Amino acid sequence: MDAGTGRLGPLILAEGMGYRYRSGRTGLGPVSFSVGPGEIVTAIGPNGSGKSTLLRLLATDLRPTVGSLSLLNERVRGSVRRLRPRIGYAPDSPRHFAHLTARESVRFFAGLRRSRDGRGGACVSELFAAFGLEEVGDVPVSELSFGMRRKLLLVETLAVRPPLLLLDEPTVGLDPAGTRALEEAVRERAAAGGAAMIATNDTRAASRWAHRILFLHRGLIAIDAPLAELLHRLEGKTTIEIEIDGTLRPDYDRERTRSTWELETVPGAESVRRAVSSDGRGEAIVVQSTRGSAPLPELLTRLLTEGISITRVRVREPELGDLFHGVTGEPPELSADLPSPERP
Amino acid sequence: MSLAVFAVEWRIALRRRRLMAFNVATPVLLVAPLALGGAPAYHASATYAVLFVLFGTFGSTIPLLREADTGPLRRIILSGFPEPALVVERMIAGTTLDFLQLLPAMVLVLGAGRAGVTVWTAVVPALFLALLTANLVGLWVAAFAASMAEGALLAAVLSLFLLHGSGVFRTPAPGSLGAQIEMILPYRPLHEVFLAGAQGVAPQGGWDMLPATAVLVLFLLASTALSSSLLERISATPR
Repeated sequence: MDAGTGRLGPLILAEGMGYRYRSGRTGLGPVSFSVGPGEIVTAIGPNGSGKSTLLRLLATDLRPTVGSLSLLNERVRGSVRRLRPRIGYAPDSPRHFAHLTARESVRFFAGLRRSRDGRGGACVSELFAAFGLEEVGDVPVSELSFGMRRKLLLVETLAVRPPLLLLDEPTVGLDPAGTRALEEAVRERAAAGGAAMIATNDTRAASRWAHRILFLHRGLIAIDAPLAELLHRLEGKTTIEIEIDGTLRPDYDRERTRSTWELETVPGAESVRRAVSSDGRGEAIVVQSTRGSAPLPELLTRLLTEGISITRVRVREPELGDLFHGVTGEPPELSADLPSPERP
Repeated sequence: MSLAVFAVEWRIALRRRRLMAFNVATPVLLVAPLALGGAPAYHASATYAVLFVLFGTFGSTIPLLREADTGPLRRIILSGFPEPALVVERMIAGTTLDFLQLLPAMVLVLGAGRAGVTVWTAVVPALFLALLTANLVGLWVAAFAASMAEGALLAAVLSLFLLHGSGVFRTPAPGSLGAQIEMILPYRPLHEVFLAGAQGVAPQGGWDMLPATAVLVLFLLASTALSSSLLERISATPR
């Protein structure tokens, strides 16, 4: 167990926690969940679903307006000054003193926590190297690109090895090396007994490092499940996208499509819908398959027989991003498999 | 106290050399026509007091609001750095920086007025007293301002009221409530020093700094006691 996590128990425990903005708009919840030592939890969901509000609550940037929250085995109420040095929070946008150099900035922000907590902090140079910041160590923050400032923020957050990591959209603006360094650092923290909550819509990154997924929708938790279980649920849901030259005739609406081409009668083709092509200029026919790419030859044959010119075919294996369709209802392929959001 | 915030304030100020030069040159250029042009002592000293106090107040309010908008202030608070220490370090850093930036203008004012030794010895505590007060006023203004423009307006209005209460624009009748208020306001000693310096005489009796110092200490204690609420108001989004 890591020295900073205290006794065993959930590092995050939210019970009926919610937040309402001054305008009366609900930002989050109520939600209930817990995160234990060693866990990496990813919060995903559409824009405005409450991910950043959730992280701000966990970072004690906001206080719950309903319910309760415990962090690192301490109930969040009254003064939270003692808790804060043990929470590493990287907000969704890099916020620095523009006139400090990168190295000075790390020394300052990491030093603020270290001076309160007396732990960690020996890994700044390693983190600089891992994130590719060595060459810009003496460059003023104002001259760094967005991606570099994002990396700097992550280094500042990770440098003191906090037991609880809260990262809001951490991969935005990061190059592959930076994403890899972040992934390793987060895993290292979890392995040391810490926990991480990451808000992101980078579902590929989430698939690689998350142990558990919290899917937020309209401020509520629609799904709280281990990553492996979710991927298992999505198994066998291959998507076949067939892009066509030009657009379909107006009378080829969904019903018409089904009756004319009978694409849904192709073995393995579960659902058929029309969509905009990848270049945004044409149309595409999207088929959800339960038999991988097996239905593809028959689908193509039927379309070609109708005289439709095909420009591109793409077969996509199921991924975490497909959850969006399932939960938000657009398109509805997976909705039958997934539970409804919990209700207050 | 780690002095991390004090050190970073100084580091940033020293790095912004153009702004530093501007902050030194502007007061000098503003006081020069009065100090060298033979302006009446009473008018000149009022102008100096207004200029120096506004310099300190704006210099506190505007950076606080800017850092609240751009985010680093919130990050410092969320790091768990003690709010009272943050306020004290920041106020001391702001005051010492203001002091050094205003020193050339102060030297010009007192030098041109052929001030005596008593004025020169009184100027350091008087200026420090006024600038620390102005920085604290700037902190409170930032806490109640919704934007930088609002902060500038509030800082100007509040400072002018306090300067008025300090006897800068008029002399209250002896024994009146106004006279009692004047005695305790921390801007009064600075104005008295300017007046004496501009007249080339020793400061008048009765400008003992003790009451004003006591008020400043209380103001500082109140600000640190309420530092958490004040900084929360300044840095929270939306403000």
